[in-house]
Amino acid sequence: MKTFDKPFEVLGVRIGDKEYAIDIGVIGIIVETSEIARVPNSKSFLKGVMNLRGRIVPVIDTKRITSSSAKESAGANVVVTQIDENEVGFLVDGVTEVMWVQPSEFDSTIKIDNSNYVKGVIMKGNRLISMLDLQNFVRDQISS
Amino acid sequence: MAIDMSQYLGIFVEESKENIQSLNDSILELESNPESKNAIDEIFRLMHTLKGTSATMGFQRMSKLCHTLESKLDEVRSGKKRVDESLIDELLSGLDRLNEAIENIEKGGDDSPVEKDGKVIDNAQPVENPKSEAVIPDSVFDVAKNAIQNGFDVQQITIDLIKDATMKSARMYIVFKRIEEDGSQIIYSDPSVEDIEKENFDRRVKLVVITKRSLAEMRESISNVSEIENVSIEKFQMKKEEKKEVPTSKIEPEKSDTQIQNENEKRRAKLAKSVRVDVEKLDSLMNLMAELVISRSRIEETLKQYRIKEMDESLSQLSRITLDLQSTVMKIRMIPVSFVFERFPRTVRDLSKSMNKKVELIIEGEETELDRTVADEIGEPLTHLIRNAIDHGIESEEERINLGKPPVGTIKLSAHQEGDSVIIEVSDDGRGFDKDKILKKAIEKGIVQEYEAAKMTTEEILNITFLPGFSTNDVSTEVSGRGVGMDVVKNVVESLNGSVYLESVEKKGSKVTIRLPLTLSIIQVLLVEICKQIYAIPISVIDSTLSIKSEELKDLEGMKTAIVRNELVPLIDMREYFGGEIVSNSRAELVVAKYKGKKYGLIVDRLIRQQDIVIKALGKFFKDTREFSGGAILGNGSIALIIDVPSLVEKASQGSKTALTI
Repeated sequence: MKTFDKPFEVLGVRIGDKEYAIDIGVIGIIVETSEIARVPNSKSFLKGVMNLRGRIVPVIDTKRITSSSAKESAGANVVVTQIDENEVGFLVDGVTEVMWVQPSEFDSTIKIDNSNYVKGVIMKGNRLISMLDLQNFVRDQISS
Repeated sequence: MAIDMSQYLGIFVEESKENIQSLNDSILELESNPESKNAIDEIFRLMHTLKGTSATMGFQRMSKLCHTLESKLDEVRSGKKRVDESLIDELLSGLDRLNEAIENIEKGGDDSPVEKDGKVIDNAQPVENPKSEAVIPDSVFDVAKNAIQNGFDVQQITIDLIKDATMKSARMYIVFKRIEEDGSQIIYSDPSVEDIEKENFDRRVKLVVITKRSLAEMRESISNVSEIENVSIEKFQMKKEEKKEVPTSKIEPEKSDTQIQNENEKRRAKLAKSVRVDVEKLDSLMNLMAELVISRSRIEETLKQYRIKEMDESLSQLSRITLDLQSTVMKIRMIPVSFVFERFPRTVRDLSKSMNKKVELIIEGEETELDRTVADEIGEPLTHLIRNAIDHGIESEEERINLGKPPVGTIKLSAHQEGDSVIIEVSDDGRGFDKDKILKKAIEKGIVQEYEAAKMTTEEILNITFLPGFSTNDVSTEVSGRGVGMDVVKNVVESLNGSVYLESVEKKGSKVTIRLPLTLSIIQVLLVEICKQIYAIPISVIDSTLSIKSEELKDLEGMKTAIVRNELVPLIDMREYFGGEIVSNSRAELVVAKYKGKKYGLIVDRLIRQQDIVIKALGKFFKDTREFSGGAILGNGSIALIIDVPSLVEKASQGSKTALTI
């Protein structure tokens, strides 16, 4: 089952030593990680909150979504997304590139990452990139 | 060339609403004080403005109605008629129709609601040229006479603009300029210059001009202004010489001009009092402000490294200006609660009249300020509470006399600030809530089981009224009791992060207390450091702060306590509670907070300073993290979480780490 019938654009991000892709449609801006205030007693995937041009934006530790076993790191960038009416930041270790994906390069049946929030895999030559489903993640977490 | 007037529609609607509200106030003022000339003048003035603006916007029906009402008042003004109840009713019902028209226009409709119920509104002369027969004052004749004696010509010019002319005042401005360009003087204008500037006129303008030009020259200079249909110029007809020449009334032409100018300046001063701004723009202004503050601190830090002495003064000045700017921007969002309260005198009047009850409304603390967003939302619940009070609370006059109460019932609406909350209270001296009735109904509706009922406290019983679909009145009256009950009030208030509290004494009255946070607004906090992070504790909950030696911290059955001013106070070690490492220190900083009349000590690493901050929501991800009511962005750009002491205490007392069983 293929879920895309047109080429689409994604942003490649690095989490630990793996590469993931985020649909470019939900991305607002990418900023360098500044000070993130930890919010005690909040959900474990929440890294805290950051100040984005005067707004308080939650920052999610993307590692916790991908179930990556990568070690704790400060994270280099925050990918700020706009999902429904929520502005949500995702902490990543780096951004790689913006790329176009042909429908033939995407397969939603394969999952190389054991996470509920991976849509499928993008195959670029010999690179295998898991496509993250941040939209569903945010919706699930907010409604729960 | 038609000009799209729709861009002015928003302003028109806002302005009209304001005018209608002021009219409302003035009419009520007139009702309580029928001799008040001030009130009549004010109503007249407002009505006139509304008439003019609605005509300009093409809402002839509104304009007509205003005119009708205006002419009613004119009869009062001229002493033909007295202010009585029927006049007040007529004015108010007219006002209601104007209001409906405005609401309809706001929704994209027209002013047709003015004519609803098939009521004939036009029983006065048509709106066209309402003042066409205006009498030219004597002073004009004096000036004209003087001018003629000095060899000038005095002309009377009548200008008719084409139908549906746009920018009428601008057209007239050009006309005025053309007339005055060679030193001619306009000594009289009907309508007045003020009305012309406000576009408060229909099509015809009459002028009296002192000039050296001939009639033809004058005609030529004016008639090529666009959108003018007709210009008629004639020699000014002096009045019959019935009046003796009064030498003292000589008025220099220039003087009448300056008079007009003065009037204009006065008008402008009035207009400059307020400006309407979209709340969203204020939000972005506030965000920009925050960025500015952050940039300032960066500059400050960078410059510090170079120690340029010359910069010190300008830098501290910059700091001062940004601080002032910041606090001004914060305050702009706040509006006085009178914005919400001002509608209630009318509500109470109408309701008490329709229910044949005598009610007096007392309003207190209307100057209390609250955030615009909160103010916008709170009107409806308050209306509901006031309706309830009149409908269910206040007894009929006979009943009150029998009970030995004053025949006129009292409803008090008051507001005041308490710490970082605004408290709004609605109280009445009516019959209060009938507990038995509430219980009976609750059992009937299956909300409460009979066996539970006996054990319920007064507070619990009163709280039943907040449950959805609960209404106590036996007969559904026109006003309330349509199933919309206190639950609506509770919902709205809670959506604003506020709380409602109901108190009632049977036969004595009831009081509803609404506590609203100043969300999005400024609160004063104490900044503290806990585990290398900065947190904010609202000053309103702080009792005191003190530094104690660590050996003074007592461990009482697994619970940390300290004796503060001879009082045993349970402690919450924030360092532990927030899951950070505890640096053992010989001293501990203690913030003593109050909650439900008890004191709790919060152990923190360091007290920083007091500061005014803007609360910002943390967002939906943190809805379970109730110990924080929000966050604030500090001057250096970092975020301080605002500790919600009540939730913290509740949560900490449930937790096992620091059991607070006191």
